[in-house]
Amino acid sequence: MMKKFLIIIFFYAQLMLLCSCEKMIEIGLPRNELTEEKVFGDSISANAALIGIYAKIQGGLSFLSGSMTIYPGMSADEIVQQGNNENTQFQQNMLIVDNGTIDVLWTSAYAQIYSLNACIEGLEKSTGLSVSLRSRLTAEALCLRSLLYFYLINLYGPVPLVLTTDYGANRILPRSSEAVIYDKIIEDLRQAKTILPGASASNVRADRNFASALLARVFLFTDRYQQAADEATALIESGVFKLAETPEKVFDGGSRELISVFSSIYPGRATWEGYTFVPSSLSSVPAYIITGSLLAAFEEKDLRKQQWIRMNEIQGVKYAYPFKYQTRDLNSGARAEHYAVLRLAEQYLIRAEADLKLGNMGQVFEDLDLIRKRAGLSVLKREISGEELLLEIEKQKRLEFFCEWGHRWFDLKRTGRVDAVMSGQKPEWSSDAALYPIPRTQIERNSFLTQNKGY
Amino acid sequence: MKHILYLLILSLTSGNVWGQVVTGVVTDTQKKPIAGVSVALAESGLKTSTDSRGRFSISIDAALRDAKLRFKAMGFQPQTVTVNGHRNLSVVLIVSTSMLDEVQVIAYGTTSQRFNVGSVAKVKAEDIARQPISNPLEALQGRVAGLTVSATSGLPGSSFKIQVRGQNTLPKATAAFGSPAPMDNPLIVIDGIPFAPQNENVNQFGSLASPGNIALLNNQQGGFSPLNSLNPSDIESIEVLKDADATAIYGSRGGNGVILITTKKGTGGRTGFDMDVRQGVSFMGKTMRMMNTKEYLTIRREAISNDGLSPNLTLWDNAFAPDLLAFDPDKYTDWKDYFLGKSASNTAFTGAVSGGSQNTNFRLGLGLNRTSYIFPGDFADKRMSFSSNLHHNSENKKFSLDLTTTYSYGKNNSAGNANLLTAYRLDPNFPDLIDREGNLRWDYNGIQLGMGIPDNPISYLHNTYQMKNTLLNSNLLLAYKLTHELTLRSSFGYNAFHGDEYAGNPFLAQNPYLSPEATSSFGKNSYGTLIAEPQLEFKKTTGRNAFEVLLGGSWQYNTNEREQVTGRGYTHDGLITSINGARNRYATDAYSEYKYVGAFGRLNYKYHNRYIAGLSVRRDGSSRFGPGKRFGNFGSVGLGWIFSEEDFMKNKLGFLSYGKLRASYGVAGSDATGDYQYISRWGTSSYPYEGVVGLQPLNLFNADLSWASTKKLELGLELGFMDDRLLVSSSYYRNRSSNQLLSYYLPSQTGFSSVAENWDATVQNSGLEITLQSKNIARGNFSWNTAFNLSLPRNRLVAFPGLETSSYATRYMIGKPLNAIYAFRYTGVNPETGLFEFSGAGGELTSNPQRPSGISFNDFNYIGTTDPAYFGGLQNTLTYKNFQLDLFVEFKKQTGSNYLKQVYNGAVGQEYNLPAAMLDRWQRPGDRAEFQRYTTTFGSDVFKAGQSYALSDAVYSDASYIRFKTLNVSYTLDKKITEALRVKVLRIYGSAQNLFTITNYLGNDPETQGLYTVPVLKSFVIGLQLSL
Repeated sequence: MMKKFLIIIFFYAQLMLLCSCEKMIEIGLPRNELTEEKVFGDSISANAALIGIYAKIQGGLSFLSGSMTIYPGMSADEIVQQGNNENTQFQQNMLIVDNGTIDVLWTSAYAQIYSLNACIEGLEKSTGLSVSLRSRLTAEALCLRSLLYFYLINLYGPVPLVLTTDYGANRILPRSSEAVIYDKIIEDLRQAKTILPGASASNVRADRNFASALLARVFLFTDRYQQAADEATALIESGVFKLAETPEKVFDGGSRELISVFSSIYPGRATWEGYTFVPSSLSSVPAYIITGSLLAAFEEKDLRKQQWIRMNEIQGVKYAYPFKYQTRDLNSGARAEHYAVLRLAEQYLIRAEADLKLGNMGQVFEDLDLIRKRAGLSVLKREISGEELLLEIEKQKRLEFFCEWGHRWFDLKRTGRVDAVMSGQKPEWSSDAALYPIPRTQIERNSFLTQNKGY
Repeated sequence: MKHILYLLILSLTSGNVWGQVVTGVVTDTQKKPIAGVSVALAESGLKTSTDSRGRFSISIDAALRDAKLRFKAMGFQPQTVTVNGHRNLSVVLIVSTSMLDEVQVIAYGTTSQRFNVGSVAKVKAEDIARQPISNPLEALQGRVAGLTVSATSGLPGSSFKIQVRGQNTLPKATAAFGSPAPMDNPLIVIDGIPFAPQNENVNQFGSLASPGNIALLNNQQGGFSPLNSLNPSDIESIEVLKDADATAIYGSRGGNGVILITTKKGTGGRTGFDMDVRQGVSFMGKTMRMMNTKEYLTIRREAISNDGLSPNLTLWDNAFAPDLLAFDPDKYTDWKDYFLGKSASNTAFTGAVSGGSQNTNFRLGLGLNRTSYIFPGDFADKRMSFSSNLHHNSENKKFSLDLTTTYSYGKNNSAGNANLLTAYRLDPNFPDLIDREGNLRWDYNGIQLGMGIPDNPISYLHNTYQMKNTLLNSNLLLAYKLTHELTLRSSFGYNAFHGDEYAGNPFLAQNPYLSPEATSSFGKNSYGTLIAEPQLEFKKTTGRNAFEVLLGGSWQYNTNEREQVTGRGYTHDGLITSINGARNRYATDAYSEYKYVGAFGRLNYKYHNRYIAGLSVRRDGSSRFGPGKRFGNFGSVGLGWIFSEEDFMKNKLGFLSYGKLRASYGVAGSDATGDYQYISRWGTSSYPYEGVVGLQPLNLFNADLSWASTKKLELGLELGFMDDRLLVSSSYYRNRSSNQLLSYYLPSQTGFSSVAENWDATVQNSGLEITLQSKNIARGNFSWNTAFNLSLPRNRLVAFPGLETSSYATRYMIGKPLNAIYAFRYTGVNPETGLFEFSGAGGELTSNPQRPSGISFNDFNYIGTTDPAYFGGLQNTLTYKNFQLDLFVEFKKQTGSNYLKQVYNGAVGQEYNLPAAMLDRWQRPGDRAEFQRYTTTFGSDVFKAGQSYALSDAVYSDASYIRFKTLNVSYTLDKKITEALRVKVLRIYGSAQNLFTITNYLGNDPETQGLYTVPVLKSFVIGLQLSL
């Protein structure tokens, strides 16, 4: 009898357990995750949410680390890749809408934009954070979002301007014109400038100088020359930054030329450019080779050619590759390098071009000579002018910023010289190739997106 | 054997019967009275039946001294007794050997086909034993109507795609490594416990068996099957539950059908030993011939000149052609034979001990299995398994306990580089891969291998891959009979699967010219399921009414924990199997939890053994939904009518020994979506930035996510003829799944590629299934049995509101199957341009058709479906004296992708070999050829036309087959000999698996499909089976 009783109790206990249903199916989040409320609940986590974006950028070869150098570098006349695969389409300027890389670039840029929008919204909703921290982190997010949109519109032309995390609304957003997006970038960067600290202890996160430097570039790209010159001047005259003595030292640990850098985080690697361009040994064929046209553009004594380009000779063939970043692997004794996002030399060239356009010749030659002298070149003859001087600026920008963030490609498109320059070098060049196609899957999934001309 | 000896025992008491009443009692062999036995006087048709104590009485005409009484009862063999003047009869009926009365395992109990109103199919141990297979899923192939089973690869340990009655849900976004294949899988339950990894691929790393999402290899769903850890010899039966009635009790988990695996149990009595040992070889059957050197060099030269180029040795030039200029033009190597030509061996041993006393019995089993690879090298898949089963009941039979535990250890070592699968397309005049010193060759006459030309594929063999896994499955069932009618039961189960993986990329496997770096990866993947199920069962029979009530609950807790550690920068290949030698180490982990709770009630009612009704209701809760959305109510009803028991049938249609009509309808929920989709989650960054570990958003969340539902309808007719010697069963089903849980595709501008959503789309699976079981001949020492099944499934998308504007606009069409093929219509090769041509949307011919974009299909058309039109199997078993012959044929009518889909993945004419079938190509204007001109240039018009061809109906063709799956001949030694040897049974057998296949398929194998998937292998096995 006792036994029977025990068994009934045992069974009853089990049933009771089951009946407290809701509790029976409670699960916690995975141990390595947090909810959104918790992320923006305290200052350390909120800061980590911003850090997460830098970590994503630098965690691998991504939209803002390496990709802007490699693909626009191939689309322009800087490098060609080894091997024949779908990325060959970049150097042939024959991209197809199914190209996987253009989809990866698009997708990873918008994934980062989502993260930034999530931060901006999370900070806005948060109640546990100080007002100053909230506005500082928001301003930082606006800087990074501006940088992403700058490259998106320069690759694809008009793109959807996504400013929230609401996927219901975002999934049907059509493309916004470049002008609208530039206006938003300028608005955001101006706002960020007023909030962010000036000379932060380090330049590894977007600060006021980041906002200024990008703003100067955006003004130049939108033909706002006076504002471009003013922004550049403010940065140059702030005294915080200084051109490195030789090209070799620009990316060195002690360089004061770098307005903004991203830290290296991938174990054993320094910069993604270094890892991608520098072969593992002198007997290895580099993955990307500098074009003959770029090599020929340098004067022989140009220190930039001597210090920023290296050759591997294999079985009688010479392969030139970019050597701005020298470190492939962080072995012992490897050079400490910073990954430059924005640097002072660009500001001098922005100012020179803006001033020239404004007819403000006061310091155009001085600015250009600074760059030339650092490269071991003679000062410019003062008699050149107008179109010729503009081409000299274009050339110095090309030689100073080759294989760096796609400057060459974006400048050629900005100045409208892309057809003239490219058709001379690439037999099958078509003007439509100046814009990358909108990836096929994106149009499939959002019927409000239109395709670029020629695809 | 024993109960065969309990032949009809008829005790006759003497006495004269002149116009007297004959009385008697009918019992079974256990001396239990049988109620409801029909007793009929053969001569006059006069009838009565036994009461609840098995008694009967019948008046017999005095004139009929030799009157014959016919006793018939369901589940028993009919008997005829001559009265012979006796007045008091005691009749013992023997349990029927009708296939209708074999035990069927169903949800939380057993039944027989006779009384089941649900749709259940069974595969028995002996059917499994006859096939020399190592994965139990393979044993189901072609044997169950409504169940499709197909191998992803012929490699040992690789996974199988299984599905019961088609795809119910719109497939998830493309699966990444290790995540579940994007198709509906049935629930797999072993001895009452849901199998923790289910049919998920358990590997985290890629390998030959799991090449990942590479179009060229056409095996996106390939991986390692966790079911390979089960020893098929430990399995007593596998039941497949299909309709609402059969699966309702599993609730949402059973929405896609259920596969119940029951392991062998101890039988009690004398201690017995069983042993089976077998040895076999396997090899690849007929495959497509590749071009020889002469053919190959001709087409290469042609491809280059077609493009207006001439062969040169300028690296990265489109006309770079070391095969034409640097390699020996007279050399020929059959690389397919070199890489895939080995015959693999298989050795298997299983042994079991069973026995016990009246109240306790046990079974212990051991299994060893080793299968090697057809690739060069010392690759093998090994398994060692233990199983144990203990049953005990108390002296008064009120309390009983069953403990089942299986444990297995498996180890697979093979190559981690899936490129090995395509290695055989190497130029036929490629230089020797190993130089005179025995080292891998990396250059030849100044040409670097792997630079613009193929790598040395021997290196892929050195990309070591290893998977070690353990499986523990344990189930404790406690039962207590409170009263005669009321039983309490509780089942507790734990299932754990743990996989340990290693993938190494040593210097040896890398091209020394291309910046080699030795790396290795270590992975752990643990699945666990914990389940508790209390039940209360009530059974009562009063008169003609039989009730069975089951009340119960179920609580299930699943966990998955994964870990990956990657090491880079080793200085020596000898160190890379450990993480210690790595200069850089990187570790990640992942967790997920899932809880499920259900409460259910089931009522089965049987009236007069003729009318059957089943009713179940349940309430399910799932942790996959947010608060307020977690619970759903579901249920089913089933009805059956055994019309052959009706008098009018018995009288009119004597040849019909059994007839049943059944119907069922039910609604089951589905929570088949990812865990945690209702909540916004942030994870950590892979690496710290400036010393701080970052946080990153992981998903778009949907707090409104809730249950999807499947409504299942089934109608069945089952007939038995000639004392059930021929059983025919047919069923029609129609399943409709709605409120679909989609991972809705989003444009990347939303930040993610998809979000989990309920979508009011409806998918319908309907079909007809027919099974036939027949004892054709049973005469003396010769017998012949046949079993046949046929399924005709049909799948279609019934409704999808807003499809035209959704991101699925060019993926689905209303009224068409989910697995529809949308492609260009190929028309032929243009004789002038030499390019493939297609018919555009306006009917015009074009070599540059437009793919779907936005919401328009453009030049794409609905071509057909990859779902099978019909499939089935035919089993024949013949025994003569001590010989037994088993023949099993599987067939499937289907359309599939052919080898051209892989071939036209690239520029056809570049430096790799092609099937000789492609020699009929366009060469000059005016040619009418099967294939377009060759090219060696990426991006050319020819290349683009080739890419369109790969998206056309030309790469889909008939993939139907009739496969001679199993041929098994066995000989059981004569009793005289075995007795002398003191052996109970001694059997020797020979078996051939996949002996030959009749097919029109264009490619290597219609089942695995494509050119670079390893076809299902042919195996020949001899074995010995011994029982003591």
